[in-house]
Amino acid sequence: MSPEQKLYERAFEIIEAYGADRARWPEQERSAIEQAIVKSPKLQAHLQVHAALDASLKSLEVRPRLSPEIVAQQIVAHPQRITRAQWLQLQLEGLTEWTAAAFWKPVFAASFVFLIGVGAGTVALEPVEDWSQAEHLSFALIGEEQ
Amino acid sequence: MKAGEEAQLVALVTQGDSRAFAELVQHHLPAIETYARRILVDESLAQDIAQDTLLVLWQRSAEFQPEKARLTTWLHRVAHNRCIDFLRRQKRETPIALHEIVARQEGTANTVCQVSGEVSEIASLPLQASAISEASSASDARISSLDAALRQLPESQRTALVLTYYQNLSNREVATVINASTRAVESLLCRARSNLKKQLESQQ
Repeated sequence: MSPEQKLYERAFEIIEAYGADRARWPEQERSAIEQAIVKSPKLQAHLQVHAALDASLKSLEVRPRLSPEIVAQQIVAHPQRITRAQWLQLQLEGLTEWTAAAFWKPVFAASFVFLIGVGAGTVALEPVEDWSQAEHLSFALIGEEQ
Repeated sequence: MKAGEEAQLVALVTQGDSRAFAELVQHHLPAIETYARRILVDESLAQDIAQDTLLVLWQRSAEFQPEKARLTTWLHRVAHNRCIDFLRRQKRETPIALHEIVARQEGTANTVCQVSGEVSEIASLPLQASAISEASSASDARISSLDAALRQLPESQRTALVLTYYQNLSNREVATVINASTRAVESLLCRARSNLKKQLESQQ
């Protein structure tokens, strides 16, 4: 893939992810993307489609209703040291955050399969005592040696 | 507010300075409240989460490390964890679709309108007013369909979109808040916008 093609595809991705507003694009890539857009009518059209979506998103306004003064007054009435229940909640939050991270899942899946295999092997397989049967089976499968 | 100034205020909060805390609340509460409201359907719950997040700032300000992140990123992360916690608990306890909750809320809004006796008054309004109300209801319908489309996005996509688009966090900050890589954030944003576009097109 040529560097120009690469840049075109990257510009396409950036517009798809961040929309048409240049201020939201990653700063280090911004000027290169802008240059790519100037050169490509397809990117310009793509930019227009996303500008329309941006405009729709902008219309969805949410106004805060809480009064910062009242909230601050209510909170400072609380002691600054955390209670035991809060400490426990904090630890649980840490644990939840750790379990929410994806890295342990493949490790868990691999060890689970491995343990199942070891378990099944230990329980289901009996050691072969009469080798003549195994020999007979192997001859049946691959043919007797001439 | 500059990062240095903010770090100083947080240091004062750690020493129990309620004035410094009030200044920080003034600056950050609106953003945290709107974030929680965009993620959760329930407005009062979003307000509870916003207050709880600021309580964390009051009680655990010593944990904030200004050299690692901006205070807004730290607070968004605290609020995000609470929102996700609630959404997961809700999913476990009451498997109700989001559109049902929205429909219920709309039902409540209609009931409020009827209780206050506005229904009979609407019929007697002059023509000009009804034309205005038609235009505004078309706009309201467009906004509510966009809101519904946004709420139907998977939680991770909605969060990435809200943090980037409405909370104006950079992709690195969003990655810190949702505990993911910047590449993953970009991918979530791509999917979110694409899904949103499809949903809006299908509604038209």
